[in-house]
Amino acid sequence: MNLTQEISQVFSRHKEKAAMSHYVPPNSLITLTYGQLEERVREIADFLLKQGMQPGDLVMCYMTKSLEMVVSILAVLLTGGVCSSFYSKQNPQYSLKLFSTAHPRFLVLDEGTLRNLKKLVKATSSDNRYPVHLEYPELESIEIWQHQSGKAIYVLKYPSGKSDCGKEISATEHSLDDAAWCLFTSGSTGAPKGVLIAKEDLLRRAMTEIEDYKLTDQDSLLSLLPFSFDVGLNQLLSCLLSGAHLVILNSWFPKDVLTTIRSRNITGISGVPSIWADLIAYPKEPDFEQSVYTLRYITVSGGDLAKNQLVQLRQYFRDLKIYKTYGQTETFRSSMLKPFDFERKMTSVGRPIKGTEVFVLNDKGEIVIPNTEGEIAHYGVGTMLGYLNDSEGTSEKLRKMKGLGSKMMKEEKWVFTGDRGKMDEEGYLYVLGREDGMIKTLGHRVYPKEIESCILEHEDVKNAAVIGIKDEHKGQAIIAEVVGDGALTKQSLMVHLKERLPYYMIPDEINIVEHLPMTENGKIKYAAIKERCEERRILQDRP
Amino acid sequence: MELNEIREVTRRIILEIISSNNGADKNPVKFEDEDSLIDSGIIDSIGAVQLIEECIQNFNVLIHPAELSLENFDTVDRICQFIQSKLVEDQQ
Repeated sequence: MNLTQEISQVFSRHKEKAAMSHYVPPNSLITLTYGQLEERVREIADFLLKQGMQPGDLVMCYMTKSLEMVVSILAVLLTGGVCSSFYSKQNPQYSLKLFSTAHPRFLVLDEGTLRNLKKLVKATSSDNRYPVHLEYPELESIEIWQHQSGKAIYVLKYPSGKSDCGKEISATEHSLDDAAWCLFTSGSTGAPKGVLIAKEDLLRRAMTEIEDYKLTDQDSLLSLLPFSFDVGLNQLLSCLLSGAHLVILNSWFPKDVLTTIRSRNITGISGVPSIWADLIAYPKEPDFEQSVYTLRYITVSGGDLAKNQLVQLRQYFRDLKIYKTYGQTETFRSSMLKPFDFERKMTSVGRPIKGTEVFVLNDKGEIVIPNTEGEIAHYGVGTMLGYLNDSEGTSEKLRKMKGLGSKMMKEEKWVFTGDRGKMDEEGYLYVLGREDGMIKTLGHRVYPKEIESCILEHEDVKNAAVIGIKDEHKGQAIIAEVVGDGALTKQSLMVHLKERLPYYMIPDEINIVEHLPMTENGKIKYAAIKERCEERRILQDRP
Repeated sequence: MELNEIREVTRRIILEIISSNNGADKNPVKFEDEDSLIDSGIIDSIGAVQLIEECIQNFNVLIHPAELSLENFDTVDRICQFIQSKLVEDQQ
């Protein structure tokens, strides 16, 4: 069965069962049964089809995380479109960059994002920097909620022809018709990249997760992560396809998380390190063990915690299963550390998941011997189709190889992750860092170059280097070293960056320096900067 | 501090957070005192942290981790009620 058929089957099998809730502690709860969810999904799907939606059309859901957003996403998937979503809190300039990269055929909005968009159009109508055709759309709105708490969903349609420029996945034999989703990730060239996921792959990812977390229709999963993030999206789909109940909570306050676990009988949570770092610092309430007794498992995804934090997490939640996952947007999930291995292999990211093969390669592309450092390469479930409109990037990231591994007789596409790692004798993978200095902060993946190019747009800046250094709370903290022309102030640079970048890309520290360390070839010596920043941090931390 | 004054300061704090996170936006989003700020996404998780720090400084109150929740911080109305109860608590 394909994804569409699987979704339809779940709808009919679980009609009366709770499917999705939006919870605002302590007492606001809206729940849809699978039957009600289907009704609303079909309504939006019919509307899109009437508006001329074709398979392979890109539809962007620019919405606050809500039941309306789930309905819209499922409607796009059921009609064969390519769905994409992005963070509604994204700042306007960054939203524009995404629109102009994606060229969606339809935009699905809620009241809040519609308001943002109108402001955006007004503010940029005289600005030619972004080739966005926002001024053209014909606005169609559809009210899908009959009951009191109902919220409207708005659909913007672009005239045909406008979206054709976005209809290619170069450098692969696929077309957008094969894709179901486009995830945006911070690009190494300074522009966001659209990572395309095949329809079958989206289904395989969900099925793998159902098997790994042993999901059944008795589960209630807590959704804390955005659907624009692969881990959050996969939680949504695996929950739906197992007939379980997804509870949306738009707060990471430990108290809200714990209240939700208790009052909604949550059985599983997919989380990023900063959520768990906050929670283990939160004082345990006296009836703690009893209040979280329904919780079966949690995941540490999208980055890692320091070893002492992993130990604390284990002590905090004594009886539940902890899964650690490792992957990137282009591969989804390469490996998983399963609960029974947690104590023994805590600092590793586990072994390749079912359906994938993962190797550590040297510069010549050969598999290295155990405990030797190299680049991590991924094959199998989760491999992207390619980047949207970026053949160069696609062929750089996806390479055809044969002769690797036991089953690899013919040429297959491998993702070169750009992550440095090593594997021990038992096949457990350890991630050491990024080949190109990519920073993982607050669960987001950020390329320094993207921040640098923005810093360099400031008129008083001559040169800039951005690095990430270890930070207990965020995973990595972002440090910018900047050479100015004398007139540069930290304040003016900060204002400049906040205007242009999403919050998670804003440096935690800006150092104005005389010059940056350079190689003879004129390349910035990032390792040297990192060293000096880390030294400074150690000095600062001393009492 | 009177409730009206608390309200005024709270609204100013929120407007500053929104406009600074939206790149010094001159026309920030309009919101009513009963509108959701965090759940609706008007304020993100970083903004929520800023909001709490500003409340601690401006109202000179101590806030316990167990008091950080949507129940106390999701709307201007709730923030005002919460801050007022803290101020009364401090006086006693």
